[in-house]
Amino acid sequence: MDTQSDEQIVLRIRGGDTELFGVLIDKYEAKLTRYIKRFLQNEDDVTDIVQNVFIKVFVNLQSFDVDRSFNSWIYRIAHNETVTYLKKRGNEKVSFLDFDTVFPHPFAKETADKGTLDKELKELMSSSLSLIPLKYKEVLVLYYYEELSYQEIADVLHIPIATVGVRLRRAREQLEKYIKKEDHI
Amino acid sequence: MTDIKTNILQFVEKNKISMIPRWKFALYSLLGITLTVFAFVVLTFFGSMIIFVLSKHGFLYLPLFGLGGIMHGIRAVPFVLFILTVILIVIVEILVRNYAFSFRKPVITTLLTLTLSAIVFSSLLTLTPMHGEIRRLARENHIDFISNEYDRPLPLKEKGRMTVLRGMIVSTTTNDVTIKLFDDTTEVVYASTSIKDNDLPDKGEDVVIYGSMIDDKFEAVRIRDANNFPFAEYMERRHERMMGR
Repeated sequence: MDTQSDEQIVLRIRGGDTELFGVLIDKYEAKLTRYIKRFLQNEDDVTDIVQNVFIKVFVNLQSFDVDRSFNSWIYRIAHNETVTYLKKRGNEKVSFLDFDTVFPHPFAKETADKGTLDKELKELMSSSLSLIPLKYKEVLVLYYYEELSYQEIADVLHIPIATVGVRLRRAREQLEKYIKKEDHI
Repeated sequence: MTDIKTNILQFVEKNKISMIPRWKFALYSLLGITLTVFAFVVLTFFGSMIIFVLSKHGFLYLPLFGLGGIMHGIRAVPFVLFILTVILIVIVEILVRNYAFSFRKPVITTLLTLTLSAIVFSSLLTLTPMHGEIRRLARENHIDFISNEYDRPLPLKEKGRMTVLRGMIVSTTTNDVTIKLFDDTTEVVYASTSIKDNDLPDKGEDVVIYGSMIDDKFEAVRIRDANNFPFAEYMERRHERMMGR
């Protein structure tokens, strides 16, 4: 079973082997819970959203294109559910005009030692993540915590790859700003 | 087994949740594409109608009369059609997003693409005699609600407001000219002192007149040969096609 890819498992579930859906839940439950927890504090809400994500995944499984990444697809659904929840709660503004997308400045992919950078950033991020806007928070979480590639993040957030780079850079700049402020205090 | 896993597998087992069949997704996509195409066709129809109406009444020439002309041109836009067009753009955008059959772009990108496509396709549509023919048939068959949309009096004769008239000179005197407009009505136009006598057009000339209504008389501030504008030849060809000539 372990040798099978998510996409192959999906094909088998579609074929009637619905119990295999449990394998996907085993694989993604902890990941999605961790991901959603970065945006919400209430444990019950997180559990509800994770459950909703799996229900949506199952109900819409026939629409999934097996030539694409299941990982990106399930994160996309989790992202949508989280944003919908945040919007309903009314404490997050979701802008239709995103200047990072309209005017994506040239960017460079990570060149520093990613391992070192990740470790340092993760420590700093955990204390400052709640301070930065959602659109920057989500790329940071997906890149540093969920370890998704630029392409996967672009698929999850439905933004061009160039925008992923721009948002990551801006997110780091914002974090840096907050950290410097805290240092001065 | 976690609570979530137990719950979901029980839901599945008891058929409380089930997969939406593939044909339904295919049907949704087909419906989405059909609606999108239909909405886009209606959108380009309205868009081209706006261009047609503005061109027919000479408003497309307004920017050539300077800033005042541009401002008046903005006021002259048929806002009902314009608002309908904007609503349609939003509907097409929502459809495209809900029934995305390709990689979904951010709202601003699809809106810009849609608006640009609508302008390009609307302009191409005005190159055909379609609107001229629809207008002619509507007038011949007394389908007023359609013909009125083409001949609806735009803010042409509001007193004191600068505006534009386009049409053919049918008669001239020493002080005025009579112009036949595209809705077949005629207007007597007096030349203001800023127009020299030898600048008055001759009978049979196709002209664009910039001026305003003063005491029930149209006073021209500038008169230009419609064929003597930048791109005039192109405008004229397009105009003739639009009128079905």
